[in-house]
Amino acid sequence: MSSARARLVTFAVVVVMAMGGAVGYVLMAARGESTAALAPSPGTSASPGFPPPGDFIAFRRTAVDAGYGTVGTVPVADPAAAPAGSDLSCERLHLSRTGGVCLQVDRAAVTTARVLLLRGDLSVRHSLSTPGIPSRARVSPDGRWAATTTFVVGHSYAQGGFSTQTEIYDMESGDSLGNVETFAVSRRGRPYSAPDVNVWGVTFAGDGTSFYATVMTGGTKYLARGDIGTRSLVMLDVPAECPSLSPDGRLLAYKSATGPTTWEVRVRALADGSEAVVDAPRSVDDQIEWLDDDHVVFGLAPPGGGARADVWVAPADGSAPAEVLIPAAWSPAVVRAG
Amino acid sequence: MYVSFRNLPVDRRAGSRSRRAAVPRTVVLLGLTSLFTDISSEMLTAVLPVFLVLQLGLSPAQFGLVDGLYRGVAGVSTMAAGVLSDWLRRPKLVASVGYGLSAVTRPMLLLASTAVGVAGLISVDRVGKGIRTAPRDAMIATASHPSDLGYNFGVHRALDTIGAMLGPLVAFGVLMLVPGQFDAVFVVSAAFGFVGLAVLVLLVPGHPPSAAPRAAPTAATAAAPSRPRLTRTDLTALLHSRAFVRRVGLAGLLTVFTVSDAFVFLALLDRDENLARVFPLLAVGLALAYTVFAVPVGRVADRWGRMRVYLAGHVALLGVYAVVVGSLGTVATAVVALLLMGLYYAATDGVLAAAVSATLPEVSRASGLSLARTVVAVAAFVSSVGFGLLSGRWGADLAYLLMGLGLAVAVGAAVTLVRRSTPPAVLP
Repeated sequence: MSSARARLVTFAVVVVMAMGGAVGYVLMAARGESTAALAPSPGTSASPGFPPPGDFIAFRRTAVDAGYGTVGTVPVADPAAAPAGSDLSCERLHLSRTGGVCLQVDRAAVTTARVLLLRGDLSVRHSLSTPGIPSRARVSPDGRWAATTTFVVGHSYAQGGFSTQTEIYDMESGDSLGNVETFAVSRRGRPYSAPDVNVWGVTFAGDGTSFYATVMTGGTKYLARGDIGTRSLVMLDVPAECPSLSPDGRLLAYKSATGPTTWEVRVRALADGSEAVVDAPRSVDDQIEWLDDDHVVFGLAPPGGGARADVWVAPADGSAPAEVLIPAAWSPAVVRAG
Repeated sequence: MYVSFRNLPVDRRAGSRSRRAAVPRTVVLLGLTSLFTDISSEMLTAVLPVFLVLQLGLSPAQFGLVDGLYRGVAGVSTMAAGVLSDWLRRPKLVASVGYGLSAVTRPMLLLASTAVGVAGLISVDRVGKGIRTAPRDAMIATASHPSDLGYNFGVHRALDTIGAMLGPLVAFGVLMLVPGQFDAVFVVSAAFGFVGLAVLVLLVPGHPPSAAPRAAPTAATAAAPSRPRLTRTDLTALLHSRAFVRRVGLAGLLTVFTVSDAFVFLALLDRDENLARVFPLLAVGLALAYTVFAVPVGRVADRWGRMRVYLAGHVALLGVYAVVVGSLGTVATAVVALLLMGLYYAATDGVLAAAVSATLPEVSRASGLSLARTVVAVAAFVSSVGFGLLSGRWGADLAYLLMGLGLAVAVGAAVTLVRRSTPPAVLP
């Protein structure tokens, strides 16, 4: 009996210690939160001094300090400069001179992505929500359209099911054109319909209406050319993921799988289909951005993974190895004055 | 649903019936162990995708790979743990190691800063789950009166599922207090994990191999344990037991035509994209239905025949397929599908454990349960791969139709088999 009593007392001690410790930890974390994280929630106010003059690169800051996760900028002419900050936090962002898109995570009862459609000065024009976890964000060069990709995870991490949701937004009205999967998909001139079509990684062309994206169906990935006006998507027989058009529209950089979870960056000349491989030190998992018509930039996680990514630059023809362009940065967007 | 304890006044039915309402202490305590452990693990389930993708930069494809990894390791550990548990005659010890392994991974998540590290910890957690399940179910069976097996397993599964429902809520509660601080989620998850482990280690009565003093090792009488040690002959006998092999074989056959709930959820999602906004709530709804049905269905199984109820559960699953490809509205489809799926789980998971336990002698009980579990897991894997291929090639509707046809034929064959082998009066 006394042994049973001892067990009961021990049990009570374990419960009190475990629960007490947990509650204490959360309370301490909450206190730290209230003082340290005074980072203003993204309001609709413009960020002072934004946009900076001249060509610049905007990115998500990954340096672990008070500005972690916020949008920083450096001039294209001096990427090593100390970044200018802003109050806006984004998991992913993309900007043009006239508008931008910022993806945040809403951690309510259900994790959803918040889509902020921005003006050129980072002030919020429209705030929308979409299911899933932020993955890709793009705006068209003319600032007319924005595209986001999120992925919706199955209910259990032990089941691994996911499906992507890619939407295109009218920046002016804030309306979504709906999931791009619902566009009229065709292949080799014939309508293509399969239940497992997934679309992700939109890149806009300069003509204001067409775009490229990745279509995956039956386990195969295809490059696809879409048109916003006709809500159509034509699958091309090129196995490209996360395409990105160069500013002059001649080259298409994309991720190409080299293993189940590793990718290299290839650059394809749209005119003749010739390809070059970008010389990156390890697997790249990012939608490529163009510094100019000859250089690509992309975020690269540290070896072994992690959120402390850097932004790297490399010649698009693979003629020289990539090097770090902006340390402690992710999700780069090159904004040109012209 | 109500659960009354042995010491409390039972309902008016007298005699042997009254025993049915009494749940042994061991079963309730094991249920609480599972409840706390499930709060702990489902807290992680709720936040891991966001954590892995945004904090650690894992891509969806890598995410899938991680998933395949721990499926495999859990399967291997299940079988070994079942046999070991019988051989040691210490199911509580082996189960404790399983729960303990999972519990210690929680605080270690605080230190893991790479995707590889987290994937490794998740694998350890899965191994822990693989280890603990069969010995725990063996303990439930041992503590139960043979006529109450279905009811007691139902009570255990209901408590277990309540934990699965509470976990995400606790996680989101923590994240509401401290937005974005995953470390706080890991700490609270660890606390629940250790409480669950403490319930098992400190409160659940153990089954020591022998009550006799160890000082007399030579005397046959003194050395005679409450149950004999597992031998090779016992394992051979297990494989030659017609009742056992038939039940496990039936379960494997039916599971091949069982579409996993992940696919059902995706089908619901395809029907209406707005469901994506409440996607995790679908799992909560399913768990709720399962919890509500688990106890009454377990009781029905004890009275009407466990294999019959097990088969009836698969008829409910056929209903799920019909609803998913049918033309009801989104809300109606989701509600009916979740209810039927909850019924399916209530009539299969715990009921199968009860039905299999009933055919097993105590000496090889954990081994038999782990074998049954492994067979079902392999069949489920075959089903997932098969359904993925079918729906990728011909579309989800036709895939559901084919799986439904297969299931209907399998259930039909099983019904004749069960009917022939089960005398109506004697319900195992």
